[in-house]
Amino acid sequence: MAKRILIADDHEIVLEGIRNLVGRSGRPWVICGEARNGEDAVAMVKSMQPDIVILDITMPNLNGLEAAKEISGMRTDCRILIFTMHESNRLGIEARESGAHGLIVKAQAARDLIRAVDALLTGGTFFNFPLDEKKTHEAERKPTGLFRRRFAFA
Amino acid sequence: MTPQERASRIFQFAMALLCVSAIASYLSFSYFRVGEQWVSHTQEVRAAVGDLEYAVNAAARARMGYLTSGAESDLAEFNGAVARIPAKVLHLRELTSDNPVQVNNCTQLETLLATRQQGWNQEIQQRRTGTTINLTDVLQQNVRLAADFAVGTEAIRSEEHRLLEIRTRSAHRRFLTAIAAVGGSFVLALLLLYFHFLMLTRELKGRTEAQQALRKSNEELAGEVVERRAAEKKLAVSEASLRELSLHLLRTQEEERKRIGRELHDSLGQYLAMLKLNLDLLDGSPDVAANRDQIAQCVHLAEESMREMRTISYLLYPPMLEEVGLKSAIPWYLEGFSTRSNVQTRFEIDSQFGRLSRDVELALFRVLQESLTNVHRHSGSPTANVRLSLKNGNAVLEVADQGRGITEKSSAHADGEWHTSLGVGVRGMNERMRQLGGKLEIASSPKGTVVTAVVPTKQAPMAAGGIN
Repeated sequence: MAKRILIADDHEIVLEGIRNLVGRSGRPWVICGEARNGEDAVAMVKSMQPDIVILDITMPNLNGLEAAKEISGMRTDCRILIFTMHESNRLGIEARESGAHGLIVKAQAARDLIRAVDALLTGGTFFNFPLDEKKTHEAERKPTGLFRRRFAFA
Repeated sequence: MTPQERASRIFQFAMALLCVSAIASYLSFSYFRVGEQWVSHTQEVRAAVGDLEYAVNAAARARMGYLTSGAESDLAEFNGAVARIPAKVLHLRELTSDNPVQVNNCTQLETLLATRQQGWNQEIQQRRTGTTINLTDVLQQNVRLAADFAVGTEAIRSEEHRLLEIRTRSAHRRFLTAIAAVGGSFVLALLLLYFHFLMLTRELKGRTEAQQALRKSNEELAGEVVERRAAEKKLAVSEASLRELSLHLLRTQEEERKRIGRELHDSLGQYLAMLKLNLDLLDGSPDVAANRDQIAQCVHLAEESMREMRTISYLLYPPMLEEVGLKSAIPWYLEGFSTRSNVQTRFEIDSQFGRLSRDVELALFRVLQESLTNVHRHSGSPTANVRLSLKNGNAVLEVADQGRGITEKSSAHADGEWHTSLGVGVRGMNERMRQLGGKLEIASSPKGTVVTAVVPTKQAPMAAGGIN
């Protein structure tokens, strides 16, 4: 039976990207709904009872973490995956504390999204934090960008 | 001499002159009395002389009567009259003893009297013995003696008169002098008192004018005070409105930053993320094996762009601050700061530190940003410790470094100047803290600097507007 995925993000381009990834994954997954804000996401989880909800953090009305708190408080088996632009070790802890079962960053969507959904649907968790630190720090130490120099000390 | 001394001196002179006039009055009265006394004295002398003449004449008449009649009654009368004469003479002498001329006259008179008495006694004796007496000779002798006696008494009288004239004239002169002194000193005293009165009047007038001038200047001063108070009130009002304006500006600045940060992050960021997604997917596809290098470069560029974009947007406005608060936003920020600046950071937070109002969290975050900027730019410190705690209803943020401290040039005695010299950033922080009812303190020594921001966790309703 196809697993039903609910996605919540206020950017159409992101929704399209997820649709694309899920489509190309070859998994028996179907996207049952798309919410544009946290409130709608919570309502849709309540009404549709998906297997997993992919939540962005920065959304109007209710942000992703708060929506995750509400959803995890509901009597539902819905797994919660946070899908965010923000990259921080701390965020993984916040996500866990709000009841989410996984957290991935959009910058590594191609690498992590499918794996994370796989993991969560099988009852596991996916917190790939700390990030691939070596790679990240090496890249950051090279001041290549124009803005980096300007804001290096801010 | 002050006017007071002058008035006092004049008054004293007037009083002295009045005393002088009193004394002069007394003297004039006494001189007047003296004059009177001399007159009565003269009358007494005249009376005494008259008495003596009467006694002598009575004696002479009685003698003549006895000489002619031989009656014993005449003889008795003669003896009685003669007995009275010495007393009269003595009385006269007493009265005239003060004047040598009169004394001389008296002596002559006494001699004459003695001669007459001697003659009388001789005649009486002759009659008693029955000797014949030539009455004509006796008469002639008596006339002569009486004439001499009269001359003598007249001399006394006229001398007395002369003396009286002299004395009364002198007394009169003194009397006039005294009267003149009385009048003169009295008039002078009156004049002085008049001057005194004039001076007092002038003084009083001057005082009244001065009082009026004082009252007027007091009124003017009171008016100025009222004006100044009004101006101060206006100043306070304009200060308050300036504060409001600066708060508004700070808020606007924050909102602008937030908007730009969000814009960058939300629209541009998402596009870049999805671009990278597509590139990653492309990279994975076997069809583009030949262009793998180029795709890898594109992926890398997309990653770099995202990183740049994230840095800018996060530094403009920390998005997680609203969602998760300082507890998460600060460590995240410190991570990035450490990497960018090579300053080791450490973060401590009280376990019970919860969420605060948006304004407060944002203000504290900005203080952190500004303080760390200064640590990196000025302190030369290898470390920075950040501590967030709760004390007596206040949230306390401390940023401590081990740098060289704030240099002489930029430090000043008052907080205000200090902040000014360090730039707009710190001044803005200071202002924002004050708006929220808190304060910013900076303690610096050559061993390091500690920036402490204290702000009440419970905000007054007007400050809780926040950034929407």
